[in-house]
Amino acid sequence: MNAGTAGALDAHVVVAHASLDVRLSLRPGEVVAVMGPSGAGKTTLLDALSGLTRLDAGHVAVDGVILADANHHVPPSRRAIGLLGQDPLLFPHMTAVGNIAFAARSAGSPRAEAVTIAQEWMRRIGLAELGDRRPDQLSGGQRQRVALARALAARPRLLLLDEPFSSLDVQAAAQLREVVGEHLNGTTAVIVSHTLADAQSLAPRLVILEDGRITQDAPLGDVLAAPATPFAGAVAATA
Amino acid sequence: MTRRDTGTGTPFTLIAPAVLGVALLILPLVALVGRASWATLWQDVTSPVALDALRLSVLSGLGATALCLVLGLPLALLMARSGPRLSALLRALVAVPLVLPPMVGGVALLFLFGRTSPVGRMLSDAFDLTLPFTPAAVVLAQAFVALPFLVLAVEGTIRSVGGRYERTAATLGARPWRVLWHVTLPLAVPGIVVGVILCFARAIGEFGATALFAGNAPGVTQTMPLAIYTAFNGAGTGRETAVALSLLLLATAVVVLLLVRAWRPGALK
Repeated sequence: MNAGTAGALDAHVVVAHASLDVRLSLRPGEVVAVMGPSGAGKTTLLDALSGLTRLDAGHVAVDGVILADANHHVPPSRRAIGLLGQDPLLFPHMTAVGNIAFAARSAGSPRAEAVTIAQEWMRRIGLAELGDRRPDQLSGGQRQRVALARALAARPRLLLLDEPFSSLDVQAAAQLREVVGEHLNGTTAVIVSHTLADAQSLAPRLVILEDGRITQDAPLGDVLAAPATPFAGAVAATA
Repeated sequence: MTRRDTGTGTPFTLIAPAVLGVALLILPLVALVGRASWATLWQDVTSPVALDALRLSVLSGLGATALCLVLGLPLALLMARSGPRLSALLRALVAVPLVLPPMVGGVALLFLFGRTSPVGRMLSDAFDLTLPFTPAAVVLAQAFVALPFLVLAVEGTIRSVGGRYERTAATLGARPWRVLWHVTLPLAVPGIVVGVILCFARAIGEFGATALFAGNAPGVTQTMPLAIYTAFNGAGTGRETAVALSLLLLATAVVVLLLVRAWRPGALK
């Protein structure tokens, strides 16, 4: 049974907005890290892609399909763009398995199969024994793992990771990075981060976003070796 | 874990008015119990008039609460989800029965559904249905005054707990109905429970709107409050009966509160 990823797609992402002009092409299964100073437009980019905010100008397109512009707005539930943020936001009234099964159900699996998929995910993320726990009975790192499994069980064609490790302690963050790397498994992903370690462990390609524009887009090693801007230089200095 | 708040003390001088407040709520009930004639109590509360009134009160109260749920949940959802202007307007409209004397509500319902009104005539011609002075009118009058309690309690809960989880559910591909059934409503359960308690309590205590719109016919539209009023005014029975019926209504309210509390899921307390 395919318990997770949808067929990987090329994702040509275009977000053109008043304060933001981003064009990104992602190969199927590619993971790209986006780093930038505060206020560079990282959150706007993610919200525009996931559909959580409406655009009053510009447009968002993935794979040549317009998801949003001034006139129409494909709702988040029909975009198949997953989101894993800093806060896992697990549904507090459902068990861990229930949370993941909810996503599998939403992606079209029948009820019984959704539960099987969810249990399979719990096993994969190393929490097979904790499936019946509610979110408040899990640690921060465990919650975030369940949230990752939930996001992937929805079979997104593109997964957005918004600082997914920043609320965890160093050790839990390192563990979760490993789990993410292991289970993206062909899912095309964009990871927005403040920490070079995230790019180093997950994304071979680094995009630097400043003032709503991409100022550098290159393999990670190239950015570190030849940073194009002072910000990129500051990032490289933390390597 | 509970911890006593020791940081910000309550000014000592507030204690006296607070105690008086409690006294204002409790002492009348004590006086009521004190006036009960225990010898005839059982006879009074099991008299046909009392039992009819009790049955009618419970049934119409349940009916009105069901009606409020059917109409009020969607309204609360709409209010919680609409823009600030529309939701402020809706909230003001929903609050009208709270500030309106129930008698006025009863008169208004009578004018809307009475035989001489266009609506009343239409119901009468099309469905052979006459509402005023029927048990259905009792339910309608109770729902009219009780609806705000349900709507406002539920709306507040949905507004405060829902948004982030609903957005998360949407990014997982859940369509609106799935989000509503599996996320919004379960998270709103505490507010719905409170709303239902308040709604039912208000419904079984309803007097003014019922009296004018449904009348005071024993066994047909005479609910507990109307039976108490009738008994107190001495039409056939005495004050002892009024006291006994009052205690019965009080006991009913307490039982309902306890039942609903016992049912309430522990995790969401």
